[in-house]
Amino acid sequence: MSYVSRAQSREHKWERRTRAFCALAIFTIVAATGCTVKSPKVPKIDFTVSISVADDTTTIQELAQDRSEGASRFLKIDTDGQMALDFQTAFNERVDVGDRLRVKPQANSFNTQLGEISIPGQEIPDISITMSDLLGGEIPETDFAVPIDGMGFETEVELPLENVTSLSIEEGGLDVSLTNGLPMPVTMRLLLIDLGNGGAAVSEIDLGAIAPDGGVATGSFDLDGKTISGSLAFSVVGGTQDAEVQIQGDPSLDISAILREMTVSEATALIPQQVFTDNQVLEFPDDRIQVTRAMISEGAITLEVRNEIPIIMSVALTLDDLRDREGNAQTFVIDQLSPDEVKLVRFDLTENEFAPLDPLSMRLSYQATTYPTDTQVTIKSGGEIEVSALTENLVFSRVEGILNRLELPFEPVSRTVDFPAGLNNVALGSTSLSVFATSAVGFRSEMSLLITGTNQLGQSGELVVDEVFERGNPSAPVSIVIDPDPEELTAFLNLLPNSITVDPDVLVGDGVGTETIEPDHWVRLDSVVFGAPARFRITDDTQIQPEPIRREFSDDEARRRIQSNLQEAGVTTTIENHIPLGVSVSIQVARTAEDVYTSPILTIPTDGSGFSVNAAPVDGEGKVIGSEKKETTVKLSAEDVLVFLEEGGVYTGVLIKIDGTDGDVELFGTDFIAVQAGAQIVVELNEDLVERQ
Amino acid sequence: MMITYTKKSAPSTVSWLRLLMVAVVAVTTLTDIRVEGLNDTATRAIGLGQAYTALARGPEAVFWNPANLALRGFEGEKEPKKFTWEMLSLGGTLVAENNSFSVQTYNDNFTDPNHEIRGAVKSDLLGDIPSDGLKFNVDFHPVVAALVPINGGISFPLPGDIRAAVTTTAAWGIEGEMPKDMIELMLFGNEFDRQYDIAKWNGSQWAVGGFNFAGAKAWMPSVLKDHLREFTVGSTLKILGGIYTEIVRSDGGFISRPQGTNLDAYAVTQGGGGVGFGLDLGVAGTTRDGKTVVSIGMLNLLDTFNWSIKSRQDSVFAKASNLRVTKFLDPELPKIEEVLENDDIDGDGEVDFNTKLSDDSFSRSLPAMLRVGVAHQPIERLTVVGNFDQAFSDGFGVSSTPRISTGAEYRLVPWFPTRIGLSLGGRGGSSLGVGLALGPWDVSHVQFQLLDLAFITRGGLLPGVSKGFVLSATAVRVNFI
Repeated sequence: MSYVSRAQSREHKWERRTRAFCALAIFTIVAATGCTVKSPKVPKIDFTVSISVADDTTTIQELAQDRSEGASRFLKIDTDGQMALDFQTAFNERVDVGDRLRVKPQANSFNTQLGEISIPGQEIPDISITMSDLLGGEIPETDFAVPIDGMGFETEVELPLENVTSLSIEEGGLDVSLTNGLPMPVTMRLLLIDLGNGGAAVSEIDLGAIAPDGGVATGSFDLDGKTISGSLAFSVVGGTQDAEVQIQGDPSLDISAILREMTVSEATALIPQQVFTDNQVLEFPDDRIQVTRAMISEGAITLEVRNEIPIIMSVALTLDDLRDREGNAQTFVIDQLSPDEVKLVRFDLTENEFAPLDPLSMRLSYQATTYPTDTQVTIKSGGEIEVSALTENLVFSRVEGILNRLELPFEPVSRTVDFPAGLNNVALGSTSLSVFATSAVGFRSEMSLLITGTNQLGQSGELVVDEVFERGNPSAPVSIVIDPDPEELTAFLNLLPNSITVDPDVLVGDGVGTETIEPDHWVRLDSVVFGAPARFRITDDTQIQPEPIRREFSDDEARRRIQSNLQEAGVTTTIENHIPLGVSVSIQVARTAEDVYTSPILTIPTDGSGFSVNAAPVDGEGKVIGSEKKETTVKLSAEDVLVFLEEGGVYTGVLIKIDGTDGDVELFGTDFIAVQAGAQIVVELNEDLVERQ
Repeated sequence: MMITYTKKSAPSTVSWLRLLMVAVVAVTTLTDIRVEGLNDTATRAIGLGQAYTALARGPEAVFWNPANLALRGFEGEKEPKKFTWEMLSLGGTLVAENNSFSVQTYNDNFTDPNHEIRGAVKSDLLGDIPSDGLKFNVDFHPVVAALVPINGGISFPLPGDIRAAVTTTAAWGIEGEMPKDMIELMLFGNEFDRQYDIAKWNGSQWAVGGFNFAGAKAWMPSVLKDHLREFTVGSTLKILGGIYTEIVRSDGGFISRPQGTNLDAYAVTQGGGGVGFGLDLGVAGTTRDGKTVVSIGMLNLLDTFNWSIKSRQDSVFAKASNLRVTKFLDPELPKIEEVLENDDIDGDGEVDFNTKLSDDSFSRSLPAMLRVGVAHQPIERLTVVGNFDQAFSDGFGVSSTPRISTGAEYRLVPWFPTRIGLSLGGRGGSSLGVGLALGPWDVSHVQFQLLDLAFITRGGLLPGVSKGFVLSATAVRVNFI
C-alpha cells in the first residue's frame, strides 16, 4: 500500500469515525431532548400523623387546689394529706346594735272617775217647839204643881239645807239632839221628811222618853244611800203622861241638828274642790328589752286629756319613771281644763333617764283638782277624765337591764358549690360545720342559722343551727367558733347541695342576765364552714355527666378537605389509676345537647366500654396502696372522626362512670390518675388537598 | 524531599492520558471529596462534560487556567486572536440537581395525581436518599454582554509578549441538604417513640461578582524544550465581592410519644457581604507535534475572602416539651410563642426564636482547585479532551469530590461544532453532556456566534436516570477581535 493509499485509508477511517461520532451525538441529543420531564402532580400518599394528645397526671392535691379557690371551692387537703370537703359561705357581715335598742310603749287610754264626792256638813239652825204650841193654847204659869193630862202631839218643823238642791248620799247622817224643857217627861219620835220629794219620809228615830226639865235625848238619821233634796223637815211626834207639874213660863222642846260631812254619788249643790288621782302604766309590747336603767336618745310621749266632768279642773300629769337631766320628774300641769275640753301634752324624753319600777312598763300618774263652784252644779261620782297616751319609739342610747332575744338580722347569703353532676351516690361518713363569728355585744346571745340547700337533682334539704355564744364588747371583741353537731348535718351534706343559702339571725340576750348594751355594740358573722373528711363511699355505680359542649367546625373548605383526605384514626390511652375509685371515661357526641348522654351518634370507644381502669387496691382503712394501669387502643373510622365535623356543629360530653365502692375509701393528696393518650391519624395527601390549599 | 529525575524518552500523548487516568482514579478512590467549579459553566465546556481546561482560550481561559492565554493552539489551527472583546452576548447556564431522585423517579411518582405511593414504593423512594440526606443545588451563571461583558471579558496583548485578559465574574447559587428523616416524615408520617432528626439542614447561598486580571507568557524551560512546542505560565488576580449566607451548623429534631412531643432544634447561620481576592496560577504546554495541549491550573491558590460587611451570626431555635395537640387547640394559647418553650433571651419580655450571636466577620474563601486538562486533536475536525478537577474544600457550588471528565468536539464544518462529554465524580456524579453550536464566523474584526447549546445530565448518564441537569445556552455572541 502506497503512502497515499495509507493516507487515504486513514482519512476514510477518520471519516467513518466522525460520522459515527455525529450519529452518536445526534442520538444523544435526541435522547436527551426526548426525555420528557412531565409537569408535576401530587400523587396519593397516605401518611400517619402521630399526635400526642394527653399526658395528664392529676393528683388529688391539684384537684383540691383547683377547687379550693374561687367562689365554688369545696375541697382541701388537710395537714395529714387527706382530702376533705371544705367549703364555706363567707359573710364578713357586721351588724351593729344601732337603734335597735328601742321600745314603743303600747298606746292606751285611761278613764278616771271623779269618785265619791265630798260635801261638807252644815249645822242646822236650832228648832224650838214651845209647850203652848204643843197644847194649842197658852199655858198659865203656876206656882205649884198642877195636874196636866197626858197628851199626844205631832208637829212638823222645816229643816232647810244650805246650797243644796239634791244629794245622793253614799255616806252621811244627820245628828239630832233634843232637849226636853217641859216639866213633864215626854216620849218622842222624829221623822225626817223630804219636802223636796213630796214629803217623803227619809228616816225616823225614836228618842224614847225624855226626862223633864232639860232632859236630853240624841239620835242620828242615817242617810247612807239616801237621796235627799235640800228641803227637809222634821216631823216631831210625841206624847206626855198625866202629871202634876208646876209650869213656869212657856217651856219648850229644843232640837238642834248637824248634817255631817257627806260623800255623795251625785249632788246638785255648790261643789267644793274635789281632788282625785290615778296611776296607770304604759305596757311594753314584749319583753325583748327589759330596762333597769336606760338613757333615752330619742323619743317622746304625748298625753291627751279630756275633761268629762262639768267643773273646771287642773290636771297634773307625771311620768314617774323618767327623770330629766336635772333629775326632776317629768310632770306637766294642765291649769284649767274646762268641761268637755281636750288638751294635749307632749313629753320630749330625749336625754331622759328611764328607770322603771317594772322593766316592762312605764308608769303614768295624774291628779285632777276641781275648782270650787260658785253656783250649784250637778255632778256625779261617775264623771271622769280621759287620759290617752300616744306613744312613740323610745330609742335608748344605753341600756342596763335584760335583753331577751333582741334580733340582729343578717342578710341571707347564697353560694354555689361546684360539685360535679352525678355524684348523687356519694355517701359521706362524717361531716362538720363551723360557724365563725365575733361578738362585741355585751349580752350572751344566740345565733340561729337556717341553712337550705338544693342539689343538682332538685332535692332540697334544710338544716337549723341554734347556738348560744358569750358576751363581748367593742373594745375586746370575742371570737366565736361554733361547732354544732347536729345529726342532720351529715344527711344534709350527703345531698351534695350545689346551691346553699345560709339565713342567719342573732338574738341578743338570754332573758336572764342583767347586762349593759350600747348602740355601738355589734356582732359579726364571718363565715360558715362545712367540712367532711373525704372518707366516703360510692353507694352505687355513678355517672357524672358534665354539661355538653357545643363544637362547630365552621371552615367548610377545611371540612371538605378533611373529609376527602382523612383515612382513619386510632387512639391509644394509658390510664394509671391511683385512686380508690374505678373510673371509666367515654366521649359522647350528639347533634343536640339533650341527646349527648341518651342517644349519642358516636361514642368513643365505639363499643361503649369506655376507657376504663379498675379502682386502685386499698388497705383496710380504704387508703390506696398501689396503682391500676390499663392501656386501651381504639380504632376510629373516617366516618367516626367526621362526626365531629358535621355541619351545624355537634355537642360533645365526657361521660365519667365511677364504680361503687365496697366500703368507705379515703382520698389523699398524693393519690392521682395519670392519663396518657396519643392519636394516630392517617391522612391521604393528594392533588385535591393541595389544590385547595 | 529530593526528587531525582531519570531521563527517559518522553511519554507519548496516550501515555500521558493513561497516567492521568490512573491518577484520577486513584484520587477518586482514595478520597471522598467532591468538586464543582465556579465559572466553569461555559456552554462549550458543558457540551464537553466540563473537560475544558486545555481548550479554554481568550477571556475564557481566565476561568480555567490563565496560562492558556499565551497558548498558540493546535498545530494547523489559526493562532488565537491576540485581542478579543466579548462585546455582545446573551445567555446563561442553569444548574439544578439533587443526589437522590432521578427524572424517572420523578416521572413515575410525582406526575400522576392517581398514582399511589404506598408501601414498597415509599421504601424505594426513601432508599434513594443517602443516609446523609437529600442534597440539592441550583446555580445560575448569566452570560450577558453589552460592551461590558458579564462572565466574559477582554483579552489583549501586553508588551513583553504577555497576553493579558480582564474578565468579570457573576454567579448566584444555592445549595442545600435536607435530612433524610425529613423525607421519611413526609412519606410515612411519624411514629411514636422515634426521634426524627429533621433539623440537620445544611446549605449556603451566594451571589458573587468580581474582576479578574490575568496575564500569561510563553516561557520554555530548558528541561521541556525537547518535549514541548510551547510552554506558558500564567496568573490571575481576582478581586471579588458579594453576599453570602450559610448554615454553620444545625441539629435536633423531635420525638413524639403518646404523652407528649419533645422538640429541640437549632440552626446557627451566618451571612454578610464581603470582598476578597484570589490568585490563580497555571502552566500549559503543547506537545511538539502540536496536537496535544496539557494545561494545569491551580485556581484560588492564594484566595482570601473576608465577609465583614453587615456580617452577623444568628441562631434560630425552637424547643418544647410534652407538646400536645390540646395545647394548639387551647383558645387561651393562640400564639406559637405560648405553645413552645423558647426563652426570652434578650430580656425584652417576648419569647425569642432567633437571636443574634455576634457581628463578627468571617472568612469563607473560594475553594482552591486543581485543574488538569488535556486536549488532543487527532484530526483537524476532531478534538478530544480530558480533565481532572480537584478542589480542596467546599463552597460556592464547588465541591471537593474529584471529577474526571472527557469529551470530544467534532466540526462537520468549521461553523457547526458538535460536542459530547462524559464525566464522573464531582458534585453531579456521572454525567453525559452534549452540545452544538452555530459559529463562529469571523468577519474582519468581528466574530459571530449565533447559537451555542449544551445539556449535561447530573447523577446519571442517561437523562431518565439522571438526578439533575445543566442547561447552558448562548443565543448570540459577538466578539470584537
